[in-house]
Amino acid sequence: MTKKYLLIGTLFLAAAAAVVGIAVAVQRPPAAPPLAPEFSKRSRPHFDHAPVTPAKFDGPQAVTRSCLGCHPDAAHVMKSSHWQWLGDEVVVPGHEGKTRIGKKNLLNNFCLVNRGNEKTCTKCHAGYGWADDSFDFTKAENVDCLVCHERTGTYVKGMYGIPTKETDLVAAARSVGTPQRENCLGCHAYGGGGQGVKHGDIDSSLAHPFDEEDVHMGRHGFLCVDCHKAPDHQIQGRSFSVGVEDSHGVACTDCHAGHKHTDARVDTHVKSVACQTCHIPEFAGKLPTKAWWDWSKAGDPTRKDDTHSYLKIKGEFAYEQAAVPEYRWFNGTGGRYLLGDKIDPRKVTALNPPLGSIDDPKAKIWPFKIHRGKQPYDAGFNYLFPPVTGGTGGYWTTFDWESAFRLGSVASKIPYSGKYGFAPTEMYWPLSHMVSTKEKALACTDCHGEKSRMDWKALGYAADPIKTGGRQ
Amino acid sequence: MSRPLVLVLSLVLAAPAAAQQGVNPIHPAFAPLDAAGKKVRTAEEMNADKTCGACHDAVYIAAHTDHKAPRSAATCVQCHVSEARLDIRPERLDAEGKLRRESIRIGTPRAANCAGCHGLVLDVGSAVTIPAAFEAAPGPGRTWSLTRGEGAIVAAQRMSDSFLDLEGKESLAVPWDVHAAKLVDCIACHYARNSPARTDGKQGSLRYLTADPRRQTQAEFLVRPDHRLAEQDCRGCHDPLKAHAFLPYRERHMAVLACAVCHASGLMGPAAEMVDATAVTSLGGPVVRYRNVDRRPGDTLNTATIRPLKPLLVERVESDGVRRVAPVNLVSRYRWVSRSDGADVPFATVARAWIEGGAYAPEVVAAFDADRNGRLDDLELRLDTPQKTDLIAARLRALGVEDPVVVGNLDVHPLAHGISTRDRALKDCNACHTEDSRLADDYVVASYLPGGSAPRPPDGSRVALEGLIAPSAGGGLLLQRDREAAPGSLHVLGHSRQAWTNRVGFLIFLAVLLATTVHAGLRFALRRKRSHVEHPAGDKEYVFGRYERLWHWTMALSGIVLIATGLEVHGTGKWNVMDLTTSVAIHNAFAVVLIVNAFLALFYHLTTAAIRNFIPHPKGFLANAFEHMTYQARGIFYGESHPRNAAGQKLNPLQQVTYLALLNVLFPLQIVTGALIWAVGKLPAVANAVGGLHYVAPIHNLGAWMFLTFFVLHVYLVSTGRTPTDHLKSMITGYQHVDQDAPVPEGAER
Repeated sequence: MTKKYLLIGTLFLAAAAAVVGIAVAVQRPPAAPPLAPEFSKRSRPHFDHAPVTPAKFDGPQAVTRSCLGCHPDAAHVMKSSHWQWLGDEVVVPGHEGKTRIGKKNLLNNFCLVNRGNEKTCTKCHAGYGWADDSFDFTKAENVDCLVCHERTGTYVKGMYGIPTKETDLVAAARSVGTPQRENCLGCHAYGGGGQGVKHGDIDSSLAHPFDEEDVHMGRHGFLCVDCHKAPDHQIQGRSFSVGVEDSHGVACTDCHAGHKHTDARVDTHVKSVACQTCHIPEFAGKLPTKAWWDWSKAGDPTRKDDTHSYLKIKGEFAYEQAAVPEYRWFNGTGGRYLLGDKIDPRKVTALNPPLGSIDDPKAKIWPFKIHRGKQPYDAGFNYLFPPVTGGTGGYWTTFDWESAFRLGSVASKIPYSGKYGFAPTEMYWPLSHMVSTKEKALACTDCHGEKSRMDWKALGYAADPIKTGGRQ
Repeated sequence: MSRPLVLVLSLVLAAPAAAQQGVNPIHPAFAPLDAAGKKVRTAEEMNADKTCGACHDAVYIAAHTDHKAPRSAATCVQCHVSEARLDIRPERLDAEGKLRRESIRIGTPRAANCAGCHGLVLDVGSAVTIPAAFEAAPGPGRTWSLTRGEGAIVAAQRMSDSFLDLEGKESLAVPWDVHAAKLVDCIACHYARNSPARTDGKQGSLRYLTADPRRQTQAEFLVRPDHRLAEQDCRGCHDPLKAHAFLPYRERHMAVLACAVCHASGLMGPAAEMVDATAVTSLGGPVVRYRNVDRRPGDTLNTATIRPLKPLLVERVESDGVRRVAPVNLVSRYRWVSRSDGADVPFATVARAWIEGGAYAPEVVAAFDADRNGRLDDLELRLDTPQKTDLIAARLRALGVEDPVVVGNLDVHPLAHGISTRDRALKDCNACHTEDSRLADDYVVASYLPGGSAPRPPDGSRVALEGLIAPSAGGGLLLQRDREAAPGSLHVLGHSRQAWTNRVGFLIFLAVLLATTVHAGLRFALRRKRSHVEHPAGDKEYVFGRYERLWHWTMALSGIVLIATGLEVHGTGKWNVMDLTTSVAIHNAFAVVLIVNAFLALFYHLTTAAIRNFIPHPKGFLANAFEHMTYQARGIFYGESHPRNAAGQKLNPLQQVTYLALLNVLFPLQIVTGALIWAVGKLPAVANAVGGLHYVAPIHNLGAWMFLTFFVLHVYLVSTGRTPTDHLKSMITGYQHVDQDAPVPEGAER
């Protein structure tokens, strides 16, 4: 018997050796690196909440109380910036000590400031009734669960974030589930007071994008929360408009780690060029985005109102569509204009300048939407000013900057010298959405050669690096 | 108007031109001159030789250029100036009659300059469309050779983004021309030979010099640039051996194939089969038949569907002097020639012979309108009968042309441009390594012969058009090629057939197969008739040692795999069990297994003296052999027992003879020829020393048939034991029943 097994064993070994020989001889190219772990489109069944939803709610807070009855941990959302509109303590470059910054206390060059304008601004706060500093951020029942989780598409938040009277709270509560693209877009596509005003790469067309517009959500059916995961309601992601560093952010390489391009030359770009630079060849492809906002032109009763060019309450605009990004070095951190910082009104003030340069090994060339404009400033103290516009007695009702400044001075606790003016500013919006298909990615000639979308000199190169070589 | 405003306006107006050629900041201001050397104030009066020749050595350049008359009508301006036109107007000149700086848009030739004559060569950022000029009357030197000749469109744009209707367009998200897309422009390969900027410039023929360090200075070069442009081929920049890791026989492929065979295997530009300037289209151009365009009546090239161009593969002397198989397109070009002076009849004259007052002459319509619909379609515009030819000839004579005749030339355009990315390269082994290989494709030379005259092949061409140019159905010409051969007498695995060796081998195999079938049939048929002799199952004896069985089955396994994969290689495309690469890899792997096994077995047999079993015993050999033959021919049918072997031997004389031949002739032959076939890829000198694949492959092929024949015979004879499975069992277990009347078991299948 032993002999028999020996024989069989030997034969088996010979066969195995032959197989190994073949395997060595047949040089198959290595398998393609795995793509995103959850690459395929998924359907998400969700627990049907209809049977457990009360027949009537007396007010939106009652809905939240009902949610918390079964999901007490959901109150952890109160630690997130979606609730607090403030981030963790950070060192803001050029400022001493650590501060907490966020939508709550920062200026921008769109609707300018939240303080004093809560009436309209907090429409997008994930809470109910934030009217002024007296709002109780510790009260869990003030959290708005529905805005992120309801799926009827009929839930509308009105002034101070309280649902409009027409909203059917019961229907909304019955429909809850994983946040859909529409939930996120409800606020993030309309930031700044309208469709596509703020982000160049987020507008409501992303609810149903075609492949070229956004390959992740179009071709592969991703939801926002596939990348912006929210363990314990701490939603991953970092908006550069209200943050100065990139902790807790989402990166392409979270899924596409170690990706190799088919052309080795392309791979040499990776250390100096962000993925987004080539893979987001243009932004605002389907719907236009605001590129210019001049507050100084507001209040002219002779001009005709038009959403895309002029509104008496807001001033003059310019929109761009299918726009080519502007490119800057960016190492993931930035500066931030804080309330009270001095400006030179003759120069353009960058509210959130991206940091990084050709000499910064961590910096890469990133695509940006740059929103430029002119906004109110205190001409005596030379700082940008947070006037009250949308709030009670604000500029939008009185068309009087003087009173708007005085009200703002109180709301934001910042002195007003009595002289105002309008100073040029710009805001940087790094682009990460609207990633197109690889067939539409930039090719060599988009940046190299005579017709380049890069301003090589401004980026710090002697000339086109295809001829002079890249940075060392 | 103020000066700055004029400047701004002129810059705005000149914006489209800026895409082509910028203002040259270092070119000195110059005065445009006419042929007499007098200053002029308009572009029309200017003489380029005189104007440029004031500084550049126009005489030297004229003597050192490929772009010379009559082949080309290129002037300095055509190649070096934006839009091929110097903007000379009185307001562009200064007080001294010199052209102002902002009008000096002069520099190295740009894509658009080359495009003026050669075809669709586009600047970065331009969308690919086919301009109307492409189908209009031919201009001097304007052959569109790149596009019409080669099917190439040189553009950085992705094909899927272009405006043309391409077959499978959605999958063509790759640039029209990967070089253009990667900023390699025309002059990167076609540079002035004595340019000091080129480090590979070499003059003279000293073989031990790779470059010439004594260069002209830039200043000298600018005076005397050698306009015989370099023809840098792929290997000038690329080292093909450093890529193509996936390819078996990499060195061999690179030695015999031009890069373009695989990398220009499906160009998507409209490539002509014939440019027939004896007839005139309604657009006023020559009649052009395309090879890869599906055109419905009324389609322009922009709306017609363009398919990938399948080129003709021929042997060609490449620019490094090496003969390689290369893809070409054949274009027959027909024109009217006046026999009295041998000069071409100007196309404008031909057009007048066809068209009167903006429409075809009634006489012409009457003669050419085959379907009687009152219109002349492109398919009707052909001089395919003597009557039609005579009619146009008569009309030409009426226009003053003396003795007009139709003359055709066959132009050979090697494919070298419009190379796309590697994703579009030909990777299908079966394209060449099959019986119906594209290496042996027939090729339409012309689908009809204008004026009945065959096109004249080029003189002194670097291309060998092997095959027979024969008339085709429809009155054209077809290049017919030997179905089993390949260009340059290459031996192509899976395609080339070794006529007689293959046939003889197959016949022997067939004969043996037939004989064994008949033999087996007889055994079966006669099994009842025979005198029923019981063959008692005597004692079992251990006859095959463990190692003997191991090496036997290893040999069997590798032999079967070798034959199977060998057949797969031989008949690639017919069986398609696996692809050629895999078959070759498996074949090679098992060849190694077989060779190692054979040597180990030889060692075993020598050291254990078991080799004696294989050596015939001279005493009584013939008688014993005869006895065995008689048994197989007669006794076996009547149930006789096996004759005995010589004392102490496992093999009978017939086996001994067979194995002597097998092991001493066939084995070494297959191993050596197999190794040589392998060596063709790695050590070409060794294989070439014995005549290359041409001789080696047929022998290996014949040997393979012999092996297969042996295999059939061997398997059959296994069944001739005491019972049909007795021998098989013995080779598995090692034990064999011993015939009582045959104390020494026959047993002897390997």
